[in-house]
Amino acid sequence: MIPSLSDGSVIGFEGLTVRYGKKTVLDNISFRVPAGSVYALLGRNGAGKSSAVRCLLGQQKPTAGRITLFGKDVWTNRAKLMEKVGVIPEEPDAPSDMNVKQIVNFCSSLYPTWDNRSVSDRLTRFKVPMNVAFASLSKGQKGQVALSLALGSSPDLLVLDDPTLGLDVVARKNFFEELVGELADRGMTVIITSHDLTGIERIADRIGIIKDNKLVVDEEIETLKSKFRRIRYPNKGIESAYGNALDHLNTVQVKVSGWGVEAVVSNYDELSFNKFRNLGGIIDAEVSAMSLEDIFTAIVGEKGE
Amino acid sequence: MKDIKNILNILTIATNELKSRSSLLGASAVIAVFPIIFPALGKMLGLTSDYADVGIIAYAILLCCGIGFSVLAGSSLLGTDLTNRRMSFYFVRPLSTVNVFLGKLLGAFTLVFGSGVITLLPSFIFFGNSTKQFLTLEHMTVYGVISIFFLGLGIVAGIIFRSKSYILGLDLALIPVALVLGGLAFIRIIIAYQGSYFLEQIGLTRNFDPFALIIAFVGVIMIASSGIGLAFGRTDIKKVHRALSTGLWGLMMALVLSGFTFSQWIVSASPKDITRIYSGNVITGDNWLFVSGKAWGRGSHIPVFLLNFKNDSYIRIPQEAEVNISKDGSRVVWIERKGYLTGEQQLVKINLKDENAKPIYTNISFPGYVSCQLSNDGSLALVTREKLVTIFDLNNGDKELVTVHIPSFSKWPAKVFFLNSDVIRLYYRGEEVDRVTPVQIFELQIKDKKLTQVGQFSLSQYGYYFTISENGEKLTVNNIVFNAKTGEELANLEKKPQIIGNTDARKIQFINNDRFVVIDSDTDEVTLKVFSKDNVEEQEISLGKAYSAYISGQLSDDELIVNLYQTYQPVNTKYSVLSVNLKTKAIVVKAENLKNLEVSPWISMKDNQSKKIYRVTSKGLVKLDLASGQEEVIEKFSIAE
Repeated sequence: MIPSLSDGSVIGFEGLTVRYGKKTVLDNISFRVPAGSVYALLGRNGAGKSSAVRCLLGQQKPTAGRITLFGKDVWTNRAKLMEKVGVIPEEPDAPSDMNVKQIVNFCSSLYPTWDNRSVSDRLTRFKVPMNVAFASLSKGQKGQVALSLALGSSPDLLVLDDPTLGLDVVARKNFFEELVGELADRGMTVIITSHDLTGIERIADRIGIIKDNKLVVDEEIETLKSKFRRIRYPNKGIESAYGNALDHLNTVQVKVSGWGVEAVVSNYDELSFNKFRNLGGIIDAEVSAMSLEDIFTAIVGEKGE
Repeated sequence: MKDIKNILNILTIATNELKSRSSLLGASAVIAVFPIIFPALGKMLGLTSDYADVGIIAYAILLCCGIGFSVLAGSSLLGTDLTNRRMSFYFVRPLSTVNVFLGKLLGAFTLVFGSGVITLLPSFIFFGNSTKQFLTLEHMTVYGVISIFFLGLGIVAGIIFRSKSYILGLDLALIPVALVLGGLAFIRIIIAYQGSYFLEQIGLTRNFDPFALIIAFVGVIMIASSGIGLAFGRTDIKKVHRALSTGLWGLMMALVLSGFTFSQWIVSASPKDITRIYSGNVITGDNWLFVSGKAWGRGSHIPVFLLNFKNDSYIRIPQEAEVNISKDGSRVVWIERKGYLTGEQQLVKINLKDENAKPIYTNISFPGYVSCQLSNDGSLALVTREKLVTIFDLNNGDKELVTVHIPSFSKWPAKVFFLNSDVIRLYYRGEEVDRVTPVQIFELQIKDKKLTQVGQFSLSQYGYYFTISENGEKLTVNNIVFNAKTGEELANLEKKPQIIGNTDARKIQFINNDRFVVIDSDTDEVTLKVFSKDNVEEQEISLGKAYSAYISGQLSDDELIVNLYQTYQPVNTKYSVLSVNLKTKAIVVKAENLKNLEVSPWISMKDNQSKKIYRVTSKGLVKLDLASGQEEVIEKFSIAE
């Protein structure tokens, strides 16, 4: 049962299913993005993130289910809803012959809340040439123009579809810094897909992970990180018994090597871990927190032993 | 406010489109110079070219540019943006699909028509007179239709060939299917409207060719389908292609079905649908009315019927058919196209005396155009084609009786005349020498299968209008009276009356006893000049002030029936019917304010008309017996007056 948007959510995925022919890309995905939060939708290449974003922007009709923005079906109300949405697409593009100034002018007439000054200031700060055709800009500059345009309408919702794809380390860092600054200033809702999990970890409030066409994680990032732990202990030939003991913590990955066992658990709690450690006297078992990248890898990677 | 915003959005997108393809406008400016320099270039190359040709060259280039630029603009309009994933630039903004599509379309149209203006402009400025003749609505309609069609084709092709979807195979397979079905759907309507203005009665009052209208429809359907594709597929070219194809073939099938339905409706007009009679005549025997006219909602398609008074049934005759009715009213024949895809012509006959008279498709057929004529009793059909004359016996299995080759210069007869059931007289023109044209007179003996040249005469005028007396003794050509058999000149009316057209030929009309009447209407007054058997003017009778007159029949040797027309209005003129006594010169008005039922020139019904006249009124068909003066409503064929 999908809760109504009276809960203050800005985005509602309601049983979203996308199929291309016989191939199912997204299968019955449902989640909500609360107002003011930053939601990171993660998945491996081909997991269906871009299809989800296209459906979210009303560019693609879902095979089944629907997506609501601000309580309205986005497929049928796309044009009106886009007044409140800023978008940075995976590969920013514009009519090739238009220069940056013309693009800004074009966009300025479309949005009721357009802030021309902030757009100009940002582009000046980025040192983007205004009279150069969009097609002639570098990838980084295109991204900067896209970010400026997306924020120019002071949107209530920002949709970022892998915005740092193809950017170098410095450009990626700058991008997230700019974004963090904006989020601090405005408190808008953001949904982002990216493979740059370090950057995501800095800004995301909530994480969704798609695996095998399904949404397998939909959690607050802090909760997620608190549940996941890496546990290491020496191999004394009784690893299977210990492994079973770890099942209580919901083992998602186990690696056995010459020196010992390394397991990732997704339902960590201290009490259970202490019980495990005392089981058979493995007092030198270690537990460590995990980064988002490690958690993501553990979830979407193959379960190993 | 919202509307203004939408318009501004559309204009902004259109401007972007125009800017991105402005190179085409530059190209048209270069091309525009060609018609001006062509004549000079032609002279340098030793070709026969003239500055009067500038207009037609400019127009030809305009059409070529219309095709080329439309395809270029169309193919990149949506296809390029979809392929390059650039369409999302528009779709992530608060722009409706309609805004995006109309904006792009407006840009493309402005580009195509703007380039058209640029192409014509130099020719118009420097050679206005030569160019102006191609700036008519008709010429611009052709250009517009071509541009719409190829723009639509370009847009569709730009999407379906770029999408790399398996649906392309289906699209390509459906093209010949649509062409065949479309052809079948519209062939009847194209034939029904051939040689006429199209649909002037349903709002399109100009010269719209049905073929052009269908092409324009297909163009609009392709453009609309692209819009449907964009609305449902948005930024995904495969989905756009799928929606486009669904829309395109759905609309095409709707067009084909509409074509079938509309064609069927057009050609299924019944006599009750006639709102204005073009030609009509009651066939000898009073049982059948031959009638044609404008039918409700059918525009300029003129349905033709044989209407049976006895049982209220009717027979539809093809509009394009040349109908022959025998003088005794027993038979009707016409030549009809044998199927749509063949040029073969077939003779169709109806035996009007049969209880269930219906068209009988005979085995008499010919590969090309033929002309047909019936004997007075309808038993023989004379078919002429290039220098060949064939007689068929329609009463005995449509048997071929004789075919002869005519040793003449002209391929077609100037006049053919059934002297009786065994002899046919034929008049063929020879080659003009020093502005003099010989006319050979032949007689064909059917039983003996013998063709003989019996006479010849020469004419030194351009344009010949033949009238032959009922007994075949005399012949008038323009103002000269000849012996119809030998060609001997009997009288020259010294260029009075002036005969400049086929209708004027009626100004000399034969009456009983080898006499003839010249209707002199060259002044305000109409005068009948009666000539004796010996071609001498015997008397002159003034009918008073009128525009023209026509002898429609004879009640007795000395009592003529004359139609008197006050004004020249070929279709709706009202006329009076008079009886004129040649002995006493008494003129009696038999009927007044009659609407003109113009008799088709290929129908001769004088015998019948001499005794009665018919009027179609809102009450029905009214018969007036001219001898007794009695009126009678004989059947229910009526028309709003």
